[in-house]
Amino acid sequence: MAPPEVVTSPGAFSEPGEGSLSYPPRRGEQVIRVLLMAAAVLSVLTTVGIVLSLLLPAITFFRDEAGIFEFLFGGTWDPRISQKYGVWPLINGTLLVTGIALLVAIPLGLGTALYLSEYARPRVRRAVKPVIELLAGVPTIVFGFFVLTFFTPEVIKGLLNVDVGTRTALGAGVIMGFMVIPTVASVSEDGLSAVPQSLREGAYGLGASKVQVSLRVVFPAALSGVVAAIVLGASRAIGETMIVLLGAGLMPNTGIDPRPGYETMTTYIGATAQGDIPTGSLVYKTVFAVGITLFVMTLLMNIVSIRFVRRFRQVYE
Amino acid sequence: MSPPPPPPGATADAVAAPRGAPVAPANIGQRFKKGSFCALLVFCVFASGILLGTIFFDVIRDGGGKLSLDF
Repeated sequence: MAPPEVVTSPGAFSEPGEGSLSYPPRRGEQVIRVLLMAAAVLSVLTTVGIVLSLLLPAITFFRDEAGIFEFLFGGTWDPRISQKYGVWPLINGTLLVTGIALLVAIPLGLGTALYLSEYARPRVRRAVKPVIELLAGVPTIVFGFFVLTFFTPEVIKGLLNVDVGTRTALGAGVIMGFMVIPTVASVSEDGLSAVPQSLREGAYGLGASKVQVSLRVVFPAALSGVVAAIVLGASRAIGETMIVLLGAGLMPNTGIDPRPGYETMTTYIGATAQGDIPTGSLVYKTVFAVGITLFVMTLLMNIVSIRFVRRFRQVYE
Repeated sequence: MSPPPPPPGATADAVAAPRGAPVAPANIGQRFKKGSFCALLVFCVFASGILLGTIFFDVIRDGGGKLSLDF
């Protein structure tokens, strides 16, 4: 018996790649496909270009000036005068200011997200969310001046009577935390709102209170979104320059006392790479060495968070 | 309306349990916990709003008087 004849008709459904049953794609679709692919390739090429532009001068720095061990574990950062290249004070400053920022941003951001997702009425949510997101639109230089001229002298020194100088990691960290709140709140609110209503209704049906539903049902179900929000906020805090430059100064320190000034990796890069250092000089190379260290730090953090998110991700239908 | 009486000669082999409230009302501690948690969340929202308002106030206080057409 002869096999049945395959009949194709205009409009017949076919999966991409099923050549025998598909019509040739329309010319417009081909153009769109090429444009989209070009956009994706451009993004990848840009990233590769950034990595290469950081990596090549950094490699010459590590080959000619300082070994990686001395660079990562040395306790003194003074490349201009005594030519000591221990980057630990800059990493320490970055971690300290970021830690203070996250101590402010995580509880306030998650609290805001839980309120907007579980407690606020739709009208209140529609009004409050844009106001919170307005904080993300304030230029960071304004935050920096705010720390320098108001928050440190008026609030930390005046109101709280803490003994700090003009530049302090405490002021920069706290205000940076407020800058990060919209990121944490907005992304985690999206995650909390995506939890299916049936989970809430099931918990209420079992007699759970609203607090129990929020903290023991909705929050764990949205954990991957919450972690993604925190990592995004941390990445933003690590990469922030202007608030720390104006608020915490340029003093490489290795302590964990938040009252004195500190220097972070971004502020070193920002303050040094101002165009008046000769290309190929020692200081020029240190900028790239610090830059690649910052890049690797954020990359590692993102890899860990992606693994975490994949492990705890829950997909609901 | 009370249930109909059993027919003569029938023996009852089950006794209806006394009916009470299905869910006990929340006590003061539970209500306080619920209220304070809600207040905490509202505070989180207000903290951001207060900072935003303070920044606007500070910027306008410092720079508002210096704005002019010449500027």
